[in-house]
Amino acid sequence: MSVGNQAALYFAIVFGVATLALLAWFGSRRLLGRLHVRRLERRITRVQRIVHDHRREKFEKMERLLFQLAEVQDWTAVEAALASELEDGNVELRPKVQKLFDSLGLTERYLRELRSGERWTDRAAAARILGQLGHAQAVPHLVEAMRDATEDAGSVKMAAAQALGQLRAKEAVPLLLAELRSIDEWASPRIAEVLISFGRDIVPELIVALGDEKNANVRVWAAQILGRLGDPRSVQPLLSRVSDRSEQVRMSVAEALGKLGDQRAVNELMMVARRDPVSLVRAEAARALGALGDPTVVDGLVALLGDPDYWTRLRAIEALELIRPKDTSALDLALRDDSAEVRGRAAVALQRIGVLDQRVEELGSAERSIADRAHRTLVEMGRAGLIESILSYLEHPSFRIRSRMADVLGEVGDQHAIRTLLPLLNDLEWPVRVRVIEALGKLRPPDGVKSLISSLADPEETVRAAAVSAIRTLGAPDDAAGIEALLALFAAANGDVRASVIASMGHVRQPTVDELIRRGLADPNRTVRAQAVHAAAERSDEAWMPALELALGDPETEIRVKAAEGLGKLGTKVALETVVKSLATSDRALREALSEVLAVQGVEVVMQLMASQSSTEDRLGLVWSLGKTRDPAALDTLEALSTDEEPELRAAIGGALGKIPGARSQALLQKLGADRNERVRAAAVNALGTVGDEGALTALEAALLDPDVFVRDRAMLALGRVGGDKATQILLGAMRHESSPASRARRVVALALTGTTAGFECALEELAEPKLRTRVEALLRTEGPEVRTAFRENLRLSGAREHGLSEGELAARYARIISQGQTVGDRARAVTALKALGASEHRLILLNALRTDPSPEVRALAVEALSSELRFEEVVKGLVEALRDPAIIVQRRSAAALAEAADPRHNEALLKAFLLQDPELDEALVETLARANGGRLLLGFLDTLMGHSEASILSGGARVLGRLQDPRGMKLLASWLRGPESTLRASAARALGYVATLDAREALLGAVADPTPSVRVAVAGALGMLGGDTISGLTQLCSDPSVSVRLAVAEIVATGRSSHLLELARQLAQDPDVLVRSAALLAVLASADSEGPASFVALVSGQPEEVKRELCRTPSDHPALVHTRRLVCEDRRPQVRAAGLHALALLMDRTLEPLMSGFTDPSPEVRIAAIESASRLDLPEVREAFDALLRDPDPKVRDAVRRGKMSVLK
Amino acid sequence: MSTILIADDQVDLVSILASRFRALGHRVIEVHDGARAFEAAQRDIPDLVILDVMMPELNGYQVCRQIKQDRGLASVPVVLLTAKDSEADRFWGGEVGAELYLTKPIDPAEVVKKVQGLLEAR
Repeated sequence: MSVGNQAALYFAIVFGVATLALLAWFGSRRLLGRLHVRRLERRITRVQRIVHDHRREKFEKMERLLFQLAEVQDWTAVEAALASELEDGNVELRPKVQKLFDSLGLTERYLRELRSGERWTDRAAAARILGQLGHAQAVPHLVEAMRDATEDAGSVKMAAAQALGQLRAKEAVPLLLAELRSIDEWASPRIAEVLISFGRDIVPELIVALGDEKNANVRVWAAQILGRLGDPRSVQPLLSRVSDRSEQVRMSVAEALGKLGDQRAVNELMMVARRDPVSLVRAEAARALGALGDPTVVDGLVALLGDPDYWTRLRAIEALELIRPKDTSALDLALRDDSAEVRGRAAVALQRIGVLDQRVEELGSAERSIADRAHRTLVEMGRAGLIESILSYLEHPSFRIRSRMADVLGEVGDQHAIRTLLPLLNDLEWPVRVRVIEALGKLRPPDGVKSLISSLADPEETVRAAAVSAIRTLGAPDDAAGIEALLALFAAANGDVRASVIASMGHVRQPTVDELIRRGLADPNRTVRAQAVHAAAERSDEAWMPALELALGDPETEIRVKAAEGLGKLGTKVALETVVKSLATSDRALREALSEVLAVQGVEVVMQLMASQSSTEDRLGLVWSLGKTRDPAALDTLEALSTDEEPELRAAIGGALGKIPGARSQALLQKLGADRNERVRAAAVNALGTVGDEGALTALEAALLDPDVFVRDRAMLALGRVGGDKATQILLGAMRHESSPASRARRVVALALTGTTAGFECALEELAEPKLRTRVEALLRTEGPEVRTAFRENLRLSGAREHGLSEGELAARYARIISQGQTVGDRARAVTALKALGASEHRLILLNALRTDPSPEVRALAVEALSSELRFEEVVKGLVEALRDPAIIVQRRSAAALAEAADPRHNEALLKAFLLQDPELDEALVETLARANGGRLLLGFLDTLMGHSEASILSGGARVLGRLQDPRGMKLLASWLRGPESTLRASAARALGYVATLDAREALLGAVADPTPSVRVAVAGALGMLGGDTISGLTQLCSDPSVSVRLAVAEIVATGRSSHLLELARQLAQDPDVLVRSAALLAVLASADSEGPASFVALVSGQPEEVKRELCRTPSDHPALVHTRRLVCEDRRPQVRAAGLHALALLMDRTLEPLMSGFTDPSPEVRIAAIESASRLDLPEVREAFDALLRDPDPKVRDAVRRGKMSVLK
Repeated sequence: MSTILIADDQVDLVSILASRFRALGHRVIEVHDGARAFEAAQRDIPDLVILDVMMPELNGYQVCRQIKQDRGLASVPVVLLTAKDSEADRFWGGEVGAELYLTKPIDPAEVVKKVQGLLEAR
């Protein structure tokens, strides 16, 4: 055997042996493994048998069991067996099982495993077993496992959560609640579910958690869980949280209250829905209201349809859907919402409520208004997205409904409808076919007119006519067959069909069609002739002029008008003169149309025509036409004609000027307003109402006194149309002149037209009188539509179902606007209206607006309206509640209104309002409290006041004492003056200034050394008010370290009259601070001392520039300046007058009166002073005076003038 | 044995004082707001009244004044208990007719001693 072969053999042997050894090893391992498993199974079975035996005895012999388990000597088996014991879930034996696990150390092991097991399966299993065990001690560990940020095994967290759910140990509840403090998006909801599984037993703990002021998360979760648990005990605690500072809490509370379904929550939820500042909270409250299903909230939900946030409007719609109100008109309105989502949701809501079905049935109503309303609503629902639902009704058994549905679809304009409409061209009923054709005409099917051509052969003429009309809209067929079919129809007996054929073909320029038109012009049917003349007019061809001229004599106005328009289109001289000749007609509508036709030609053309006309009738028509041009270029001609002899022409001029806005028109009208003829004046006044602005008011006011009643009446309405506050005042003044019922009615209409609040209020007050209302209604029927529309719009009566003006109807209308109105402006006007109609009868509505309206402006108006009704207890109560309104303007008005009621029973509420520390509100509160608590009532007020410790309340009380000036308050004020709170000390000091007793002065003098500057300022002010022997205190304050104090002293001495005060002023004139010096110097000037001005001038001369500049900034109404001007004009002593003038010059006063007085003063010294003072002013009056003074008898004066002129030139 | 009316919205404080007075053999009426305080005084004519100042419904000053203005109760001594200790508050306590003005926090023993003194002086 070779060496190689030997090697191979050895290798094979070794390989074989190794393989055998490996196989033997694997085999033995498997065998051993199986043996191990079998052994384990046997042991588990043995343990299970042991445990089973003990279970039968209810684990009474625990020690024996433990001993037996220890004998097994295999803890793996023991553990596995006991784990399966837990699966049994026997609650009665649970404590024993727990004890067993504890004794075996298994509980501890599982806790350890949960915290730090290497494999996630072990950790999950530990969690599961701990849950089954039910030990409360496991709770924190389980929760920690849930929250462990490093635990990325969802199964472990899930097992921990499920274990917590199984625990049901009440002692776990606080721990679980505590865990909800932190935000954990995964754990928190699961903890919440665990808490829910505890059921209603934990409601008390949840209520406590709801009140946890420190943690909003806990409150949020507590609210949500309470909502899920549905326990009525939760309602009140939840209600107390509707105003929680956290929006999340408020949302959760609203949601919970909705789930609880307790009607006690209705009012609060409505307040939240209408007034919460956060839109999501309002939306949630709206949803909750829907869940509560209380029909009384419908009005409030309807008002929410005007909420600025679309989500809130959406929720309001959902809520209304749930409540299913009888009146769905608000949802109908929501179909026109700006938001497509809201429109769509409104449509769905209406469908679900059954309104879609109802409206479809109403389409078939014999009553036109009902069918029309249904039509409108269905169109809006279709546009909002319900097209598929609506299409299904095209199969309705009633042909009336099918027909009208087709009409609806045509208006909706959704192309998806075409496919469903087309088969209905063959509907058995011809009204359906007609409407389908019309709808297709609007929808414009992709194949154009082809689908409609077959309808031209319809046995029903109306159908054929509809087809023709639709073809016209879509475009006439361009093929010969189509044209022939249309021409053949003209032979039909039905006039409408013939008219439609002309209408559809009129624009086609072919001889056959021309012939058709000519035949049409002579047709006995007026509709046919109208179409024919229209077609002829559209030709704009002189060849048609004879035909059009002939048509001017047609018996039908419409045809004559059309013929005139046709001639106007031709625009030739001959054509237009023909039109002019036709103007002499008694047919007003034709005259209007003819003059419009001429106006369209332009001013130049009309004026040319005018030049060639001599008859009054022709010139009248042309004057109207000039007006219709609305071109100011016509004004020259109109002005020239305005002095024509003919009053009718002059009146026409007035009407024409009324169409051309501008100052010149207005001026011409004002001249015509003084015409000798009453018709001309009436026309002018009427026209001023259209073009006039405030400049016309004088003429209109004068016209109110016109001798002719018609002119006066037109003037009133014209004032109304001009509108504005001045016009309103004039109309209100006219009440004194007019007493006839007819004129009063006209005045009411005029006031309503002004559009002002005063006009509105006054009109409504008058409308409270039934007879006058009837007259107004009658008057409105005689006026034009623009007056009626403006009247109803201004009074917010547009769209009302009630068309009358009875007081009950008006009040009902405004009450509805207040509760459902969606704009602040409308609700504000409604409140004003109810006030005018009588606040006492409508006080409950006004009180409701005060309590619930979301707008502070509306609530403030409600306060104003109620302020005259304080004799009603509920009104006073409402105003007192309004002191806590969130809007300061409402609080202020309420406080001011309560001043009239002035009742000490409201002291507590009024005092608490001082906490808001709003200056304007405080002033109203002081006034009210002072009125309510004078005399014998003062002590009771003080008892109430002293029950408070807040500085702002006590300060307010001090102000009240000051206002009352009652010495009985002195001691209290004095003790406050010595108190620790500086704000209160300052208030007390100010009040003592009013009390004016010796003790008050002593107390104030004692406070001169107060450590707080603001208190010392108040003391200074009070000492200044007291007067008398307070000089020592003020002197001390002159050297106060605080500038504000010294400034206050300077301002005070300015008001005093004693020489001591003047001395103080002089002392302060040397103060280191510029403002203090300036104030002191002004005090010197303002002093009663006759030397004041001279002293001022002397003191100022030594002052630095910055002081002088500061003095020049003195406002012109400063008392010192006013006093000095008076001295200059009135004092007897020339030296005082002269000094005054110099002082005014130093202050750069620009008032002319003292200077003019000085220029003509008898004393040369004063005249010179005036000249020197005025020489800084380059004014025409001064230059003129100087020129006059150059002729002054005194040479020194003349010199002064020359110098003055020179300095002006410089 | 005397009848003492204690009015304070702090329930715990009322209990503490009441137990002390009862231990001395006095009869104690406990109320927790001002309106009920005056009603109880009119009904039971106590020998002494202890009032907190800051209570709901009526404050202590108001109740004290009502007691002093009532013919049947004018001679009943009133002790005011309050956390308000400014000069003005004390001053007003005197103005409404209180015999004694004590500031909180109180030492119950001290209160009992002072009340005993007032009762003996009657």
